[in-house]
Amino acid sequence: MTSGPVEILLVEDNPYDEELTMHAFQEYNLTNRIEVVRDGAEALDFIFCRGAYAHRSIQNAPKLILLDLKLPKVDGLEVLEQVKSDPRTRGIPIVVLTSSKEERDIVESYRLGVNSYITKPVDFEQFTHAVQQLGLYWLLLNQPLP
Amino acid sequence: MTERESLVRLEQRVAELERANEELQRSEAHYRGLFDRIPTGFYRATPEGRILDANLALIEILGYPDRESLLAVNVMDIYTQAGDRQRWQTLLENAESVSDFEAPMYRHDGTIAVVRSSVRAVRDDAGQVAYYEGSVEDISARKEPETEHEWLLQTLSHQGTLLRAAADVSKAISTILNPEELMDRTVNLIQARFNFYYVGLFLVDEADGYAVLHAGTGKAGQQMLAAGHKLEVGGSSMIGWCTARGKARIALDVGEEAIRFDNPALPLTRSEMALPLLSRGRFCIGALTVQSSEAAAFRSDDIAILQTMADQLAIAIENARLYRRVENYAAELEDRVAQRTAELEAANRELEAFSYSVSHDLRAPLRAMDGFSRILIKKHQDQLSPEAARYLQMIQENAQQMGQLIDDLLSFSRLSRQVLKTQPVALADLARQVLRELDYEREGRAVEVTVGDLPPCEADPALLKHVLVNLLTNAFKFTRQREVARIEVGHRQVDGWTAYFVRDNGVGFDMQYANKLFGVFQRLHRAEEYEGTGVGLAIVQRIIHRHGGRVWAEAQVEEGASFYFTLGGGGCNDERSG
Repeated sequence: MTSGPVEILLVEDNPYDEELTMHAFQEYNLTNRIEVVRDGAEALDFIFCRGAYAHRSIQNAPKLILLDLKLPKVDGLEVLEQVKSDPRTRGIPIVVLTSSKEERDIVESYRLGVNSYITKPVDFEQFTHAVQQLGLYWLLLNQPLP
Repeated sequence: MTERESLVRLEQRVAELERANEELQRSEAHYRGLFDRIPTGFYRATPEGRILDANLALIEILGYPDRESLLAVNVMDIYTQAGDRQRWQTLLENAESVSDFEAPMYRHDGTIAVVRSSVRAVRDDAGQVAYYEGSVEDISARKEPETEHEWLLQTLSHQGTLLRAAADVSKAISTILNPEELMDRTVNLIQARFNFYYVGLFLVDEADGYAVLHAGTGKAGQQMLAAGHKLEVGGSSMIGWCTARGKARIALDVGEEAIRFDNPALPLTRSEMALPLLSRGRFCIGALTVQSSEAAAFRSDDIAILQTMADQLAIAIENARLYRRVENYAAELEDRVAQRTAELEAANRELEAFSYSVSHDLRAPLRAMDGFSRILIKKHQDQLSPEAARYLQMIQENAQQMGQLIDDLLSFSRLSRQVLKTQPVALADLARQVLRELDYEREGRAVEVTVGDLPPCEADPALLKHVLVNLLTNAFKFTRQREVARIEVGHRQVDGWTAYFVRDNGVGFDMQYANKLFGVFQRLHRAEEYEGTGVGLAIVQRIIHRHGGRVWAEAQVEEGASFYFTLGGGGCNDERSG
């Protein structure tokens, strides 16, 4: 569980990818501020403070959502659509982090208002690098919505 | 009134009657005289054929010695054609009178007189025919024109009429493309323009050897069409004779003809002509029957005119049938194309779903293999023997190789789905751009690259760039061991098409394996010598084929290789062949 405000919501159904992502964040000591959810429905519950996350406040939004596209129950594109179409959550940066290089996924993600689209490389060095870069960028460099 | 007065009255009455009788007899004699003196034959006859009266003119026309001998004859015996009297009797069932009815009759001496008669039915109060009375004119002489000049005029005017009618019919039918409509319109048009009694059109059914009626005029035509009227080719009918031989035949007097079909639906037919419908002048596809209620309605000269019209008709029918066939083919093709398209779309959707799933799911396990083996090396190096570290290294290499394979395969399959966006492309500029992007390949090497003066082409620039990247990367790769690598991008004419080429002085290959070059996963070099997945040239070929072009290679071991491609004239176009 997390201590302090959640900075990153990682939406990832693959436990290995989750572990590798956490491993990459470890070097920046970000792991204790990451919340992991396993499917799109859980992600929506977290973001909109419903179900198991009813105790949360919607004002207390994560600074970044890392979103896989191929997810059980509700897929990533639908999560993206719901978050970006609700005025209360529209400001949360969402980075799609997926294996897919399919053009239609990229096009559709940008159409729905994604902030960034990253393809997970097979090479772990590159993967670690990418995850760290985007963590740094969105958490430290980017000026979030006040 | 006294008895005397009554007597006087009676006498007066008798005298009146006697006078009236005399008057009547005078009148009767007067009319009899008139009756006999008129040059036209007159008669009265019972429905059964007993002649009640005949005038002198008729006696003379038929050559009888006196009235009694004529009155002793039954009318039925005078007609040479038994059916002739029946014909006008039939006609009189619906009409008060029939006029200008021509028929041949036996004279007393057995010779034949052609007569024209008009008949009226006189009915009793019950509406039954009491007797027929009619006039008879001898036209035997009139049938023959008196002078050459008259004959010529008559012939010319007759033929002129026929030609005009034939031209009208030909003109009208040449624009109809529906076979059924064409045949129906034609028979009605010919019937009306030539004033025939009946016109019918038969088409030969090759399968069972019958000429089948396809169009017929009037009620008779409708009846026969409904009954599926057909006549055996080569059988004992005019149509059978005509279709078997492909020749026209005339029956000037059907009663005389041995070969004819005695058709109960057409009781009034007297003359009949059968005209073959000849395809390309020889093959008989059917026949036209034209029938007249007049005897000797056709002359042999008429055959030429009507046959010309029939020839036009045969062409029109063939055209209409061909058009119908083409239409059917087109419809069938459209169906098949639609079906194939649906199949292909379904296959494409499946392929798309497949590659989508590959794209998402196949890479994740590789990432785990690569990632965890790296973490193992990084975090637990001190616990690993050198051999264990080497194995982990190999796991990583293989995972990355597999990742590259998946990427290459996905881009290869994406190429088939991508829409081709062609535009003019300056190929030399594109080649120079690709070479700039591949600059890293030249680091630490001596490479001489020349780009010729390439003619521009019409292609999808993004895909063409793929081709150049693949070919030039190969050229760099396989010249690695040369002291000075030479790479040339040029062009030459091959079979009328511009063939562009990428040539190098690298290791080349044995031409006996040339056919394997462009297959997916086909490699001619061992992986430890030259890295690669074996997909690059398959991608090149797919792109070139989608442009309708051709790709091939020429090489010799250790003597370099040239890869050629054209952007047309390939005869193998994935785009068009679906």
